[in-house]
Amino acid sequence: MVSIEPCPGFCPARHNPFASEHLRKIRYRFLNHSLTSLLNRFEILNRRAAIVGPQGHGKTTLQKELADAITSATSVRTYWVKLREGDRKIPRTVLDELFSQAGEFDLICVDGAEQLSWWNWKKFLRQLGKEQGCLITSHRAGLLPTLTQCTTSLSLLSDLVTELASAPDAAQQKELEAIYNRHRGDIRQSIRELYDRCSDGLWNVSRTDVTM
Amino acid sequence: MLEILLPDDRTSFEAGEVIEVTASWSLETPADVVELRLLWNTVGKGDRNLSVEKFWKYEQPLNRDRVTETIQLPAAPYSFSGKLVSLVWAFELIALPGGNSTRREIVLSPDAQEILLTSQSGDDE
Repeated sequence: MVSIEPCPGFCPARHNPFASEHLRKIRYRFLNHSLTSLLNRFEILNRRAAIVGPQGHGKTTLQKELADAITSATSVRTYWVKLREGDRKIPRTVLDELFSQAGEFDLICVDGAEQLSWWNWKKFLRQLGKEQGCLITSHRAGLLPTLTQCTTSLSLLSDLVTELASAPDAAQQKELEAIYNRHRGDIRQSIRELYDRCSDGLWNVSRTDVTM
Repeated sequence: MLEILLPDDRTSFEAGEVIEVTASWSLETPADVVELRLLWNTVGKGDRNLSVEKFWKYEQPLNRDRVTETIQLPAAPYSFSGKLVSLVWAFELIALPGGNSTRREIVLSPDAQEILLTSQSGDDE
């Protein structure tokens, strides 16, 4: 059944400031390092390194930021392999296409490298060209030298909420703390919960310019 | 500057309605092509879906020009919003290369009003 009158506390998805559409536009916040220092370190590590951290801690956002910086400053091209939960191997056809296209100095980014079995990870490494760069994200250290360990904080979540919606008031700040702790610092899950709270009218947004 | 002008500055239309849309642009650098698109996309908690339903290409455009198209709006899908997802129709005008663009969202449905899917409607059942 369809209603055409909005009900109290109803926030349509397109007005929800925590929609995935808005999240994608947020850039990585450098807490402990600068972009330049990470790029320098990546060079020192012979352009093979891992961004390590738990889920929802900004690994993929940072990986994309670094890859964009590398490709915009050089003639290097970037190739992406995105692995999902349970992807224990990269399909042969994908590998063949990847290594037939990637140039000698190009950068290969693997997102979620911890998903690969040890054997398949080693096999992938063996296929990398001598000069090809490789930047991975992983939940665990040890696959490649660690470039940085991604961390989050309550103040980071608070900053993101301010950017997406509006600055949290004192009561909302307490709520944020509970949400952040409940999700053990997972910013993605925290923001998903905020999406739900907002859609149920339980999170008030004072700003009015949050439409798409 | 890119601009999309809708009839009487309306932003709500009936599905299948025939309207005149004017695309106007004033470009600082020459473009290879200016494209007017009619599309819908979803927005919400999940991944975004997008479908370009119609487009009009103006090759080797003048730096400053204005074009009016008579357009029959599609019959579906309708603009709707729920808590998890909204379907949003829009016109977009984009200059390539460079990607300068502008977007105007519209509502498209049988009665020119966005359909709202609320939890209240479910509670009534």
